[in-house]
Amino acid sequence: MVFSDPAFLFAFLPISLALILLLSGKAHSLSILALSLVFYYWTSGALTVLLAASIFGNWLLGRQLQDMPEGRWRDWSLRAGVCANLAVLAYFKYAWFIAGNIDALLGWDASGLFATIILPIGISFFTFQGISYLIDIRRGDVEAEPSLIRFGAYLSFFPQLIAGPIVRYRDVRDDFRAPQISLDNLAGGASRFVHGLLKKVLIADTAGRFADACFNAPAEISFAAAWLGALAFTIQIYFDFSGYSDMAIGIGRMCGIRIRENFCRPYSSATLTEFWRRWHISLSGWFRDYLYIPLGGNRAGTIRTYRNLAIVFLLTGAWHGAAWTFILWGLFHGAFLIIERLAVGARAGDVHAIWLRFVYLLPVVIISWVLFRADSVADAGHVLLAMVSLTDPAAWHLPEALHALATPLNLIALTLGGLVFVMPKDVSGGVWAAQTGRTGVEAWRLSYLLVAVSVVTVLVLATDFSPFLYFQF
Amino acid sequence: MSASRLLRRARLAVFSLCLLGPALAWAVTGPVESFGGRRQAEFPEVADVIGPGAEARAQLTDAVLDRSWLRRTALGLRSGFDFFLFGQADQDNAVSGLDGWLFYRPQFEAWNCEAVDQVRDGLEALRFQSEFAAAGDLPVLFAIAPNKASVERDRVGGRAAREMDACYDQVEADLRRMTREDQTGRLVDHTALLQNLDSPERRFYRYDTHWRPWAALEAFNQLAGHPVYPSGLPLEHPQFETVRQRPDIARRILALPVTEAAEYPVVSPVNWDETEERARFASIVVSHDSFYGSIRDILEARMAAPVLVHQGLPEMPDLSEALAEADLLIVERVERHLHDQFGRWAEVGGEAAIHAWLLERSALAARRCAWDEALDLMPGGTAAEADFRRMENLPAGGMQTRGSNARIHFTPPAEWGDAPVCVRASVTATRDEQSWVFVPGALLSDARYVNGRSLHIPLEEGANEIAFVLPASVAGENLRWDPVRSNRPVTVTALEIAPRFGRSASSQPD
Repeated sequence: MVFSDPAFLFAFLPISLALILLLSGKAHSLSILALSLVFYYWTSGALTVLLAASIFGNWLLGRQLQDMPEGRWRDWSLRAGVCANLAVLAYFKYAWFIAGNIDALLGWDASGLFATIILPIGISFFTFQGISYLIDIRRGDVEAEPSLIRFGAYLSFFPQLIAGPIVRYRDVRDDFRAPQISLDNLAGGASRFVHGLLKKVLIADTAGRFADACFNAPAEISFAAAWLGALAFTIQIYFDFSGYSDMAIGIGRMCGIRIRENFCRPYSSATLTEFWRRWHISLSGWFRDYLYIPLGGNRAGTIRTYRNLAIVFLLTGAWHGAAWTFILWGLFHGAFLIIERLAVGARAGDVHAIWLRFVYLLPVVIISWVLFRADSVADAGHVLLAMVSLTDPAAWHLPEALHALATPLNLIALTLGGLVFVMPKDVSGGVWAAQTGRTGVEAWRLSYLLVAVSVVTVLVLATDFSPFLYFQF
Repeated sequence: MSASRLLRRARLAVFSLCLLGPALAWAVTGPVESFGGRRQAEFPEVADVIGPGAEARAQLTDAVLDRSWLRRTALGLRSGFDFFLFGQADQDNAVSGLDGWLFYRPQFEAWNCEAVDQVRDGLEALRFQSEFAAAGDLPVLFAIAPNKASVERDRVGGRAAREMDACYDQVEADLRRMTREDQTGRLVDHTALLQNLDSPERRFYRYDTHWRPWAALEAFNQLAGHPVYPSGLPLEHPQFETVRQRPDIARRILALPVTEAAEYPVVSPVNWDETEERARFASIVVSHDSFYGSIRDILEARMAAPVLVHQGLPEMPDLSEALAEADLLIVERVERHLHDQFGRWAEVGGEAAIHAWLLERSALAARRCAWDEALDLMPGGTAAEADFRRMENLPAGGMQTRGSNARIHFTPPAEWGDAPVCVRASVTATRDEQSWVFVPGALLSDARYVNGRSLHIPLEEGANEIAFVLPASVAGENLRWDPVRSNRPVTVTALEIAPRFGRSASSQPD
């Protein structure tokens, strides 16, 4: 059940919001935990047990870490907790992939042992949250949560459970203890949610249909179709993921929980270094704080900085999926980050040159999404080759399916999505960032909401269902 | 309360209304009928909904929304945006042509290049069935209603034109040639008639996939005036009255709030006791689809007590029962369905009943064949002996199947020329079985013998006498008879063929 699913929108969400608001006193966390488990069960069935075990295990270990005296046992306990979380992730997400590669190398048949494993939805998110919780306790950045229910509500919080953002306990601890439920948060959260849903169903889904049509037969793709497909996917993934984050932030706000921003106009960046400060901020921040800096960051010499970057982006790629395409995507980004450091040093994230966006950042990012989108390395190779095959006689041939997609509404949606490439870097935060309380601002917000609600209702009810991309990570 | 606070509350109210919209709509309007050209999802069992699998919960959502006024309205708004603002439509079942004309998409998909071989084989099956009917003088007519795209070719532009690939023209040309060259008199091609109408505004609706009443009346008059089987009294120069109606593509598929004017003929029922012209057939059964469905009032008024069976609709007369008393059977299908329905005619719903009726009538016709000139095909050293495969000679006489896949191949003499070929056999089965007789044809698919060019003959437990009349075109062809497909033994004790009217007689009945 994703947020654009009618069952979520028209049944689960209104019931959940009503219950959470009614029980916003002492039972606030309990209602969130119960609803989150129902939400997870709706889609994942029996795998809800895994989520429950993760909640209990991390909570128990957090309590023990809190109470342990400084010393080797405390460090080993943390390591055990981190390893346990990673082991769960490795088993469910990577075992089949690793075994498959061993089979290919050694001629074994080990992958058959893992062929029946079902990937639990959102496992990458809740295991990373569990890890950050334990490390923060060990570092003394936060105290262990005494209430199992409150910790469960945090780890399973349904708005961000299956597709992020990755929320750190220290950022939401106070809100879970004293939820900030107010008219301002309810109205603001509703607007933010609808805005995200509009991004998803109007732009991301439309762009996705164009991308699917272009990439349907990678071995036969033309130059024009390859670029059009890559551009469409570039639009799709941004609006899909940032739309989902908007919705998570919006629901969180309605529930009195403030979730941090996850995107900040990433395609307006000038360099890849800046891009990663604006794209999936919660993930890049997690890797920065829990991997890059512990590895030495950029303080241990140039070579080690590059090595650390390579490790971080290798794992960033792998985090997105157990496939060589994701790993290559991560390494591709890591390589360009190293090149940027070589070229302009530590100031790579602070370059202010709009032209760089168009001649460097966007081409690199668009090409990288080809790796990300492809079903296999071979498919990616076909598309990338087509992107430079301008002299091919069929270079400008477009798939027949694209013609059917070129309806007025789809073209308008795609054009709106394309505006993301030309957005200025420093525009203000939109309708929800303006000062609350001014009548003009509120009138504008209401007008926007009316239009957006109408459009999303029509699209959700009249268009075929499509899952969120980040569902699988 | 400040204006700003009021506006924030209004925002919350709008959002709440959005979330509660389907529930409120359901409460106010109740469940609505099927729309969007889709079958409504069934409600799942409660146990499945609360079980671990997510499918039943998704099905529950669909079941509720498929009956929701709000989803229907949303569909209309979604379609209306493209259609009213830009004159375009492109959905699973509907696509726009020139000047906002709407077409039912499946008519293009049915005849596209991916399916073209199957379609042509299906048309060959229809040809065989009309020849089979003619061979036994069976009173049946196959009426072909037009695809909108076949008649309104000038309107097939824009998105519709992209759906219509080159094979559509090829299939249509094949079909027109087949009906033009038909020697059986059993094929009534309304499409060719309407293509030649010089009143384009009277042919098809703009937003509906069906013909207008004026065109339908022309089609009826063509049927009623059939030279061999006149089934009713043509209606010439009637008065027309104009009504606004809900066109099916716009209203039912795209959920658009449009109506379209239609001129309906004022139909006066015939008093059969007083009129000098009398219908030749007292009992007519019409198996039809929505094209004749749109002129049921004309059929009922201008035919003598017809039994109308709308294929696929509930609460229709039972076709098998109706056929028991039939003097004339009229089978009407739209072009796009010809190949899939006649290509498997012995299996598909109503077609199976038609097939059984034709076999029964053919058996009666076979009684009058020139059996004194019959060729015995049983083993015995005659030149005409059939080829019995996976069958064995029984000491007591006859040939018994050995395991499954038994075959009997036989070839009616080519020198019988244009005389229909009668076949009769004695067969003993150990239980109720099914037997197949295949006639090869000019097929495009790999198979030489296909369902569409076959007779499915039921065998009852015990002794069976089967007989039928095949068209003259089978002379010189290698026919295949599968006595049974199960492992259970079936014994053939007699197999003969004879020219229907004798070798010295005319090929036509008296």
